[in-house]
Amino acid sequence: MIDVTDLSVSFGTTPAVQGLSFSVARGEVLGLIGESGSGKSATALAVMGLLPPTASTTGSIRLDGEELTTAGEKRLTALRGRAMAIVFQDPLQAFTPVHRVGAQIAEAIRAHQRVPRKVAARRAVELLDLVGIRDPHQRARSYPHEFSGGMRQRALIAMAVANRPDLLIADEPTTALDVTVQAHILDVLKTAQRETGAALLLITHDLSVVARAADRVHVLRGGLTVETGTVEEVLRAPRETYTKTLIAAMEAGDRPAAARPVRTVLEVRDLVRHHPGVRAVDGVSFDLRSGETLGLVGESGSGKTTLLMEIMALARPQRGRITVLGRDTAQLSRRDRRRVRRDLQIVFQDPSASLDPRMTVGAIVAEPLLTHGRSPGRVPELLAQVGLPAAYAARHPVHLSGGQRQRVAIARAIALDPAVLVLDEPVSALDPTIRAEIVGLLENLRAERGLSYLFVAHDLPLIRRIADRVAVMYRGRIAEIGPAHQVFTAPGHPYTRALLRASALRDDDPPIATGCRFRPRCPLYAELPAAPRSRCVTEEPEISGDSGAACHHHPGEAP
Amino acid sequence: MSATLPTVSTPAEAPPEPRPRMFSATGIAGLALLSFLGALAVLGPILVPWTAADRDFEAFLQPPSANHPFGTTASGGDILVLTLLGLRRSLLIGLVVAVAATTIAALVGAFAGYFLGWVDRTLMWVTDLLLVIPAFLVVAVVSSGQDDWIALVVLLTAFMWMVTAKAVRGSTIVMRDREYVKAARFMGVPSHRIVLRHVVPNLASLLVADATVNVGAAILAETSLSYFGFGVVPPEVSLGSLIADGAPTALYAPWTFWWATGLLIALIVAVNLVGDDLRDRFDPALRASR
Repeated sequence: MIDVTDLSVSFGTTPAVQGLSFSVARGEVLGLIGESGSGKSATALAVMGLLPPTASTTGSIRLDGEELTTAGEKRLTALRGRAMAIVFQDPLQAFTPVHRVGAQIAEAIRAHQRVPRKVAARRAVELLDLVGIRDPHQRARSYPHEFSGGMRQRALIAMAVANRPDLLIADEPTTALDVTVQAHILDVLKTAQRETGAALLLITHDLSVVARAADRVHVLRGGLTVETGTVEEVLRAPRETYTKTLIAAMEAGDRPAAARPVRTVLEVRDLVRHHPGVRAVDGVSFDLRSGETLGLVGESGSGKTTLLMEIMALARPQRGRITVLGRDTAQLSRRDRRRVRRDLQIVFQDPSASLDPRMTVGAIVAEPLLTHGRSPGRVPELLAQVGLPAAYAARHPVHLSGGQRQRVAIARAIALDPAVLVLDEPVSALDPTIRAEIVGLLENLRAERGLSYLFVAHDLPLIRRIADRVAVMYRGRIAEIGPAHQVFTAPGHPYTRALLRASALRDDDPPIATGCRFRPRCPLYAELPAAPRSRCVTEEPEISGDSGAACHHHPGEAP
Repeated sequence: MSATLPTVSTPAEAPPEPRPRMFSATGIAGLALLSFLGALAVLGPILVPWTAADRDFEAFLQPPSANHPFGTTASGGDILVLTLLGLRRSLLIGLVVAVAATTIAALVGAFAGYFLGWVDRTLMWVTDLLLVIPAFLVVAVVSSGQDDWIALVVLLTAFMWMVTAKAVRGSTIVMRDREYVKAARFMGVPSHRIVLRHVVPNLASLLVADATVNVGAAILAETSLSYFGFGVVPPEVSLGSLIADGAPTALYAPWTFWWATGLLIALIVAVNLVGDDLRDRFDPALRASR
């Protein structure tokens, strides 16, 4: 179907892809895996003929025997969308915000086929149905912003397969999505591919995506092919060290279980934060003890970030109580609040957003010190602790790589010797191998300084490795909390089970006003007989004590 | 624990050293032109043998000659020295007004947008009030008959910052949710320091662009005021008053009109060239991509 031989792409003198060869047959899925800068996206663009004019390409790309590298722009335009289609990472940017979703899919059909408007509209509805969108007639008339991320990605897949392409390219199709939704999207992608018989080129940095969806895999690094083979072969018995590193970075090792320390550094009781129309945090309780790491997981919109911001604000919450190092935040004076801030620091997800672009690294790390009246003389020492040369103090964040920037953010956070570090997805914006380094750094710092971490992540193997205890959030509440080992090996809540197995859960359900909020998506609820079901409808399940699951029917609970 | 760590070191990607600041070709041209005009305005009137009050009773409305390189006015004044003095006054008013107006706009907008609440309501009430007052008329009436250029600067400034303040306020409201601003807040940095250290510097590209436009706008506003007989009044001269004086004779004695007009155009072009270059430089993203 698609045959790429000896493809090289370079931008100016910088090679992006070197001597890449692969082929994908009809109905086959090839996973192209690599970190950023490995040349995987350049490959996708080269196949689509979408490379900027500054790029030079050698080698050959043949689609159904037709050479694409020498094809004219007019021919490529005709092929794009009809013979080959691409699904992008960010579906919000792929849709025009001012047109209805159905109309945009119909437009894609009419761009390549002479069909009446009505027929195209009907076909759009069918396609939305094919990708598993509920109530497709209604949904076709929605605007893109009315869709959830997963639904938009499904609509984008519908658009991509609208003209039954021979080749479907999916460029990081699930990176922006939650674990359970990721699984669902991959299933939809495979269904759509089966229906159309297309060859699927799946580009990702995530091995678990490849493991789930691909037949064969091609590992890229720095534009060169590292390893290639069937998914089974490569994942079971990788030959190259780089592949082994990638696999090791994915796999979990448990943190050894230990008795809980005594001193509580952060306590949250029945915390509520409602925004108009959204119950972002709706009764959350947990405590974090000295030297402990609490992993907080949950899909986007589950209230994790709101929860962190409530804690960091150190103000009186709407309802409930937050106690930091024994001090109730509702009763802090201005001066006390500043003092507490020294002990409570945060590292954000994206270091390119959390570092002021106009300040030098040295000024960034010195800021907390100066703010609290200490000498900035410690800056070189702090940079050394996070593994950066002292000379970097004079640079601006734009001149650092993503991993180095996150090191700067960590140096800033530990500058005041805090007791508690809040980490909001600190590594999810980084490449897997860099991610492992930063996690290693965080582990070392914790061991050296006895820090307590409140660690938010959606990467479960990572949480399993770094956390002592885990709290799973679902729509503003904690669904399950307990020692990491227990939650990972014997999950009590059906949602936790779905997360751990990366089972496919739909994401287009309305929020629930009473009873168990997980009910509409709950696989357990679907199987229950009528009598025990009624309890899920009427009564909100609660967690008592410091571990447990908010489910009326989990194994530990009396039925 | 660290046994499970993959032993991969950070790829040896040496990020480029920050490059030395270089002006672009247009920036250099603008800077050169601006320095030249500045030097002219400062030194020129000293070097020319005539003064503004001198009258050459042997040359009324004469075209440029060896004695009067720019020609003379109908009353025998030397146009060269008048133009240079006018340039000096206009340049001074333009630069001072632009910098002052942009500074006020940055502070008012950033504080209103960052603090919101009553700070915002108060500051925006003042802003809106000044916006609806017919500025030109007020400045014209208040400044007429006075020859105090500082009063003129204050008045021009007072009516020139409001639109920018609103734009700055809007950008600040977006910026207060940026993570580096949150990071500073969670670090315990006092709010006014966050505004001055994090918010305002990150609006620099907007502010520089605005100051550039304001130099031109202030000079033009002063010019129009002077043209209508307000603003700068005789015996003081500005480019505007010179253009106004020269306009009636522009057709048959072009030297009375075109020197001042040409210098005004050159001045505004120079300021804009420098401003464009500064704006690019103040944007770290643009700087990194070069």
